[in-house]
Amino acid sequence: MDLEKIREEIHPHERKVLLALNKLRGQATPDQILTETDLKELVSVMRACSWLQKKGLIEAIEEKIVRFFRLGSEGVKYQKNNLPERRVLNVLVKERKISFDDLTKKCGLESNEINIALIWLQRKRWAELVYEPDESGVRIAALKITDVGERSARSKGSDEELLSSLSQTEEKSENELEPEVQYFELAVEQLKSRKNVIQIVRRTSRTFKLTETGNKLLNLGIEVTEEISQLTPEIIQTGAWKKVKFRKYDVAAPAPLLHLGRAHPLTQIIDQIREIFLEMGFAEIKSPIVESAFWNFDALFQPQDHPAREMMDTLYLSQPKTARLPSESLVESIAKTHENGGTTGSIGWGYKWNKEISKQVILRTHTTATTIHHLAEHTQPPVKVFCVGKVFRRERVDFKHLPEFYQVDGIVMDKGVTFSNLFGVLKEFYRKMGFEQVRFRPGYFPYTEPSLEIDIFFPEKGKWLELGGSGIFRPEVTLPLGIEYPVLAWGLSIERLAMLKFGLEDIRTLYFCDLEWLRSTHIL
Amino acid sequence: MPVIKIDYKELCELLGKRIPMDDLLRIIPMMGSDIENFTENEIYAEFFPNRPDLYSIEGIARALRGFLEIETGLSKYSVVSPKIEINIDHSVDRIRPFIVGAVARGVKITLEFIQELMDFQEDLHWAIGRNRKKVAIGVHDFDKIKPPYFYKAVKPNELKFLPLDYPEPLTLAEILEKHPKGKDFAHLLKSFERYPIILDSNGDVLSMPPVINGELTRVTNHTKNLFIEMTGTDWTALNYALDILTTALAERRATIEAVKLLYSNKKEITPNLNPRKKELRVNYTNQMLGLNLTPTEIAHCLEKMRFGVGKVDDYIEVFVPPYRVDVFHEIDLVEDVAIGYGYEKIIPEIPATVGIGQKHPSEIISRRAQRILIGLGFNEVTNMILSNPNIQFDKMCISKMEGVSIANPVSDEFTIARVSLLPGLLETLKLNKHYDLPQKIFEIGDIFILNQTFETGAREIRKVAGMVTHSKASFTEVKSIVETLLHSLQIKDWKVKAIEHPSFIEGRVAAIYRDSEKIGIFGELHPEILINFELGSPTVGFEINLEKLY
Repeated sequence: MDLEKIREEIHPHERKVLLALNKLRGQATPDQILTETDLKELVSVMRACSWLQKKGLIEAIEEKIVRFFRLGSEGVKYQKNNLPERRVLNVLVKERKISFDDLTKKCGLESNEINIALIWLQRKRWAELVYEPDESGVRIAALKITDVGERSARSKGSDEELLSSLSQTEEKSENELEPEVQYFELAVEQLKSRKNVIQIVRRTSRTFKLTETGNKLLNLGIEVTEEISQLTPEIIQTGAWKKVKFRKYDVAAPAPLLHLGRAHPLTQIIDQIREIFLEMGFAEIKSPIVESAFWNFDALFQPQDHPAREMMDTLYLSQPKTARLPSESLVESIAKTHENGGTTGSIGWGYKWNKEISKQVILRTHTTATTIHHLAEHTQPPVKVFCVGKVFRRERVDFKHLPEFYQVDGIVMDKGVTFSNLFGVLKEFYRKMGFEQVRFRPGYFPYTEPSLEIDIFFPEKGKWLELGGSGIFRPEVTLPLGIEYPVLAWGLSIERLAMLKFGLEDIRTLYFCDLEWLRSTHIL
Repeated sequence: MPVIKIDYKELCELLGKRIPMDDLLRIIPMMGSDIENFTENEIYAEFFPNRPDLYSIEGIARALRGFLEIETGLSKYSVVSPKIEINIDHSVDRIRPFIVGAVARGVKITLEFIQELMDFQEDLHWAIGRNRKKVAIGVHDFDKIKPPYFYKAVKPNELKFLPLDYPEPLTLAEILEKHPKGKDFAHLLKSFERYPIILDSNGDVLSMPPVINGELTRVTNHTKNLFIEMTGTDWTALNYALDILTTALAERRATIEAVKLLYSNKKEITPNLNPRKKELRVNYTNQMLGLNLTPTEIAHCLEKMRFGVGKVDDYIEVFVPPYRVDVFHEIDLVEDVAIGYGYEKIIPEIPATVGIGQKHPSEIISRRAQRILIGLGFNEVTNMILSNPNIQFDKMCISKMEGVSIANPVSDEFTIARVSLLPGLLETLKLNKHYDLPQKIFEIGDIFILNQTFETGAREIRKVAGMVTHSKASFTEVKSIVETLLHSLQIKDWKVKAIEHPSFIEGRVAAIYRDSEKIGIFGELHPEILINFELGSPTVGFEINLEKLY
């Protein structure tokens, strides 16, 4: 890396750490660096060290385990009131001897501290146990000060030095504490053997050393001069900006990604499709989701015993239950078409059509219900419309099925439109969706003839996938409505397309929204 | 839709020609199918419900021979005059009034063929038979029974016989209770006092239609001649199914012999494998397809599709083979011309029809609201319309309303159409509670109400709803959002009024009114609601009717 560039982009903290290291003869622990700089926290030192390491200016030469200390709950009490044995010693110095009964009274010991005091007085050899007769001649136990006790009364023990250096809120490392305590390890052992007096945590600590590059940089000179990182209104308004130097940032340094509010992938795809239709001159239409079997099936020449109409496949409503049918004459002409073809030139399905069945209320199973509804009201050419909407099937939820999903349907009705026109409009539609390799294959729908299925070639999958159905509405569909010209029609399911475009394996992802996923998907 | 297993070797034998596998994989779809899967020796192809004649390998081979121009035009089938009779008793009139039959002699029967035949029957039951209600097929070892046969209805306990795949003889009533097939199809007979039965002259049972055949006539690899019977409720459908099955057997070089049917009021002979005559206009064909084919070219396309062609002029005399049950109208022949011509040869042409692109008003307002909320940092979510009263009412602490309800729900989870977008948003927050806060989500979608002024008695209403959750979410925050939204939508004449709503904290919920009409609601959700949706942070929400804003 270019040394000059490093020098320009160096962060003030990094600079401070480098200078401190230099002063500490090129090698130091973070604690040492902390004391040498005016940085406030060890974290700042560590962070600067890690940046410097990445830039190759310093290196970690030694890793060792360092103990960190803080006071425990008893320790806090002892720091304030002194150790129990010290409290006894303070009395003994004056009184030479003290009976057990007087320990609580004269020394202010709590009952649980008596034993502790006795143990430590003997262990430190500050006092010895004697039995002496009282006024009534009964021998009673008492404590008597020793020579060691006399001497110790004038100075603190190592454990007490350590105790007074510690704090409950702030951790101190052994490196910091050692110079302050005479027999450090002994003190640690002593305090450790008491309950809840000190807490010890072991952490890895590194020693950092200036590298050759680091030394070169120091030789170039990195003296602290007034540099600005954050520009402030004050600097702008006072004109101070003319004098200061702006610290150069490492523009390649990573910055966190932000959450942006965004449209759901499904609406993004829907809008893309709507835009394509609008660009191609189609008007957007709607029709009710709650629909009669008449418009969803009968008007589309689907016989009343067609498997798709069964309770197994279609969601029927218990409320509302019965729909009103359109005009008597239209119903009659559709009934006749089913029964014997009526006036359409067809032989029909050859069964007795039942009006009640067509009054059943359902959640529509396809958006072709919308286009046929529209055609019934717009029988004169040209008609060029599309619709996007929810459709429903009686499916359980699993990774490839949902009981509801979006479909899109488009139609063109006009004098003289042909099957090859249908190919033309489809090819253009799919090209605009970004699919260049399209194949039209014979298909079947009860309401179109000729019919076709649209296959798209996915090079990454190496195969053709069916992505839409199409055809010209049958005469049995159009003639009863009074439509005399061909109607080109096609439709496709949007979720399938969304899954392909967003690389999803599970269709539920689209409806059980995971915010992390929503926030991380790309925008179309 | 049925997926037919095509054995490559067997297909080539039936074609009389070896066609490379790759070519077949390319050609079969263009004849009208979807290749589901394939291996080195097998192709699994899905054929459409309008072409049950392609549900057998014989039928596929017959169509392919035409499509590949190995053999074009009508496949002619001769039927030997009837030698046997079926007597039909009027007792079946109200139950399963019709029976048709045929004899197929000299069929070479292998175990593979038996399996294929059973699959074929099941696919026909599905496509034409409406799962045996309309048509039920029985195939028997002809040499095990003594004609004439009798078709009648008997009382459930009148007789006993050994059904297929069962260890002991059962009465008809017992079959419906105990036999697996009996249980499957009991619903088709349960409402009748008598059940149909086919007997031979010795009183042996051939079949208890539409449920199960007798063990006596089981078809094995020793069977030489087949008796086929089909019973049902639709005379036309029965004949279609019989024509399809017998012509497929004829493709295997079976001799088809007719059967005489003696109904109480009429006599019939089946099958009749004569083609039906239709006419196809040349100019209609070209007009529909956007092609300019000569009459001869059209005739050639039809012959490739195995139709017979008679007179060729301004119109073409077409002979429709008996197995083509999908020809309702002249247009059905037009499609076959197109397939015969080849969809891949049709040149796409953009129609000249002029149209003006026009967005629907409800989508215009929806997208405006969407853009504003995205600008405010909200994430759009989508929830399902189908819901249940527990989520829509109980968890929201509101009393149940009458609404759009499903008669045949697939599970308790989806029994009604939602009445509000808010419960769905709370569910979404619940799904995401392990992620960082704040979370800001919205949805634009339809909710449903009953309304007698509409044809069906119900309709959907477009709404927008949003929610914000974090440790300091407040009423002021949601009020700012709602007012910013309305202001940005250029809605001016609205008022906020304090209301009470059990889903929100009292005194922290308001309604938005325009004139005297309530168009929305917003507030701070009640802790009880948050607990119901397992949420731990203050949450505010709003819901506005978009249909009132355009």
